[in-house]
Amino acid sequence: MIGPYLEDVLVQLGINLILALSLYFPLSAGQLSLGQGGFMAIGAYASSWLTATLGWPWPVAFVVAAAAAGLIGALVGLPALRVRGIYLVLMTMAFGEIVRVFFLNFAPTGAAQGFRGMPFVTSLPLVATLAVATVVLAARTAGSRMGRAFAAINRDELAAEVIGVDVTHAKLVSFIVGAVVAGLAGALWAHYVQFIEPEEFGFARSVMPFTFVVVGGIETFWGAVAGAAALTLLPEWLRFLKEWRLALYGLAMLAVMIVRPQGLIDHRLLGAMRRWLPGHAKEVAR
Amino acid sequence: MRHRWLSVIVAAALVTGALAGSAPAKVGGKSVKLGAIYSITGKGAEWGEHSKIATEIAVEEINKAGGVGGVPLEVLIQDTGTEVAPAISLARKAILEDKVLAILGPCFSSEFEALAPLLDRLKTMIVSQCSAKPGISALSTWAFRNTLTSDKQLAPAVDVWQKRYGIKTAAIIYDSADAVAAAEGSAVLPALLKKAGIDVKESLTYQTKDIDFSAQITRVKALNPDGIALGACYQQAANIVREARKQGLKQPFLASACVGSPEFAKLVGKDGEGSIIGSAGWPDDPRPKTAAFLKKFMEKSGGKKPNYGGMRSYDNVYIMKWVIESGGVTNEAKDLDADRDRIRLGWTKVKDFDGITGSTTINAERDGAGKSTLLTVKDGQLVKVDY
Amino acid sequence: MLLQQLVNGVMLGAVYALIAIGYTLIFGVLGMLHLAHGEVFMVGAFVGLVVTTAYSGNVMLALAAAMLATGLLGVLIERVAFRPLRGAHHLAPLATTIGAGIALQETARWYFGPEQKGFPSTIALRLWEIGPLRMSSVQVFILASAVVLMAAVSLFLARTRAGRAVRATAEDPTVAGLLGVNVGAVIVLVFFVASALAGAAGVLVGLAYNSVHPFIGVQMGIKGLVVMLLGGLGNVPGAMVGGLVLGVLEVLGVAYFASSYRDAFAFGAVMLMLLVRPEGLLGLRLSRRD
Repeated sequence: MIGPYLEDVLVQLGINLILALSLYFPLSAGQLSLGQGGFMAIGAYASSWLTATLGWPWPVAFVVAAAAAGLIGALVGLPALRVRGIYLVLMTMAFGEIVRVFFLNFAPTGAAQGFRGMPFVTSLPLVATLAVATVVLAARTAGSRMGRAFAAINRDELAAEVIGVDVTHAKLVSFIVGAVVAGLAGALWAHYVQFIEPEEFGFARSVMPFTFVVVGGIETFWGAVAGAAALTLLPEWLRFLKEWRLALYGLAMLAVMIVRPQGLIDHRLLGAMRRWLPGHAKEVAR
Repeated sequence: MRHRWLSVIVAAALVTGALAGSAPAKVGGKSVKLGAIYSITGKGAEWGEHSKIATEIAVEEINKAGGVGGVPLEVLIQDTGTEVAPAISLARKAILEDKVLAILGPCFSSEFEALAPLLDRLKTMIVSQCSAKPGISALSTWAFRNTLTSDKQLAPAVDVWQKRYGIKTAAIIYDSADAVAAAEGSAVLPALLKKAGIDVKESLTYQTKDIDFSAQITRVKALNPDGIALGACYQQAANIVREARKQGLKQPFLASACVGSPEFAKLVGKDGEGSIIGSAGWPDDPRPKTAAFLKKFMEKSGGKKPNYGGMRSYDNVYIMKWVIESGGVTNEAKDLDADRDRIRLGWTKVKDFDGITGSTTINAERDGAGKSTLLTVKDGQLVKVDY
Repeated sequence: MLLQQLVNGVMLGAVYALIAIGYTLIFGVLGMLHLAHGEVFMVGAFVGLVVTTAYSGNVMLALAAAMLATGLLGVLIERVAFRPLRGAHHLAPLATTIGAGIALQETARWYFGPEQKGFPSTIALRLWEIGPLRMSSVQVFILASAVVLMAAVSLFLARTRAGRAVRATAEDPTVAGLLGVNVGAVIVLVFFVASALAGAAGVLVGLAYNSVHPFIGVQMGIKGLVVMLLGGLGNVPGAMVGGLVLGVLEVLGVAYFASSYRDAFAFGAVMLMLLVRPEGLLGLRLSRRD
């Protein structure tokens, strides 16, 4: 039996994991988005409005909300195709801020006062299931044609185009999937805290999945998992440090990146880990 | 002769009986555990920090004087970082793992609102020392606030402000990104000003993180109202006041809640002289209890004066002591649920408790009731205004 | 009133410009964003606070001290958060600077406390009225300081050898290196200058707006990024123009529309800019092509 505090921390870890993966999808196709907070907000507010105001059953609300986030993802992803690198970062940042300001003024969901009334839905089993599902999605994508297209684009967009990858389609898909997943994280979050306000989904929220992915390891989706786990648990472990907690958190981030710039998990480490797994030896022997 | 002896015996018996009845009930267990969830870091750091220091002072004093019902008091203070999710997980930890009898805090309205649905499930009460957003104690019968909501803080302030300065027209400047300030600026102030017959010429907004208010002030200058009312927290209020003076405006200011911090007076100095603030505590109150607390607080905080969150935390600890001692709380492990309910019930009965912020009463809505403390700025300090 | 609002906007814009110049210089030579630049600004404000409080209002000393302190801080940040990651993934410095920023914020909070602090009244406040305009001596000082600093940076880049070395490195570090430029030294110099400017901005903001607390760097940082984009990445004159434009737009937006939409307005402009003219108002100059 897990204590209630640990249970809460694990729920937050699960949501952070899903959020981190939401960033990983577009990132794996070379698109760094610092606007995932915006998609999360859309998922949170849409699902909350559906359950609290319209009284819809939560599974339907969650699906519709994630889809809404995906739709906005498409709308943002289209102009995003035209910009790259730092320009894309700034564009997604701007998007995130626009969403925040929108909800800050949108009266039907409370504007600055915040929104409440949604039922408690996000139990640990639910989060764990959805987190695992997202990881499976990431794994499947990595091994699929689409995933290889992402990787090719990430390596060299021009070359990818030359060898026949439909770059536009792939980039857009990665962006939309990222938005849908972030929207799901938002719906889960809203139905966990049962009170949301626009300030929660600002730039700081968009930066979170980025730090998870970069510290955890940019090269594979396992990095997102490791980073979310490490950076969610770290502030809790550091609680004994009281006021020094956050300062050390910042320094820890800095230290990890200096010592290991590729992040905690990279291809080499994954390869080494695979060699330890029982099934591998047989394959090698063959 | 016999009658006299009889009356003496009866009198003695009555006196003994009365004394026995009012003695604090003996409480069991090794220590009385309370939880405290404060925003010690993050954007609400100063409210949480002052609350923490004040709570620690209260606990020290109580334990020196024999504890609660003869048993030492233990308050487990945790930091939410002014974030909603930690507030939830720390509250659950305190209730389910640490098995506290009740929880002090949280300070911020958003944290408070997020905890409310939890409380009905977990059946433990919280009492906030600084949340000022009207209406949110109604969310759960386990949610209490020992502080005045901003509408109560402002009502007498508007009155005094108008009479003192002959205000007939006003402009409102408020923070539309902060829940409490936005409620003050868009609902509470317009209603109160209208009721007082003051014509609101314009309402202007800003965002919490803004530092530049030149645009709003220039606009107010063109309107030339008699006074300026603010829905703000003290940091931005101080900047607004100073900007106004810089641009040559001489109007008096009106504010409440988050502006009622000694830091405000320090920051505005001469510029804010004469501003009227509706608040929930006066740190420089010369009454012996408050003065003694102020001295201890300044020692412990390195010279800072407490904001009203700190002052009310101190009172809340003492009210908890009173509630536990007079409510039949046994503090035995088997009685945990019953004890928590007893404490909740006790708080609904708080009436005219003599605390350092004045006389405290908890009303039917589980909010603090009582007279708003009116303050004004004089010589860089907050000074009480009688009304 | 419009004229006064324009003056307000220019004042605000001057501060934005100083911060944006730093961002754009660093981006120009390294091709990376320095996400702790806002915290460097914050440190400058605190140094200014400490000096003016200790030396009874000597503002020039405060400026000098803040610029020196933040310049050195910038050099330290380069050494710790950028140099070790020279060959690594280009996103790594974003993470290190975020970490460094948090550490700086928390250290400031621990040392100074979270409360907002004001500068002691330093410059004798005189008010001047020129027609419908009203300016205080503090405002004039700030504007003058900002102009002097910006002019100094421009002259430095245009006329001095070191300045030419900086421009060469921004153009192409490999070629610059081949031509004998000490690229490592140039980068250190750029960080010093950029951070010193941010530190100066910190002191000026402390003077102007009297609001110094550990988290002022966050919002300023974001505004600085927006200005950098408006002016053109790596373009120093662009940062100056961009700062003025944003300052004026913000003030006019607040004066004539609701402030609540102001941010959306600014960011909407950013998105539009990115689609229509990503090279910024003045075009790319000292830039890395992506």
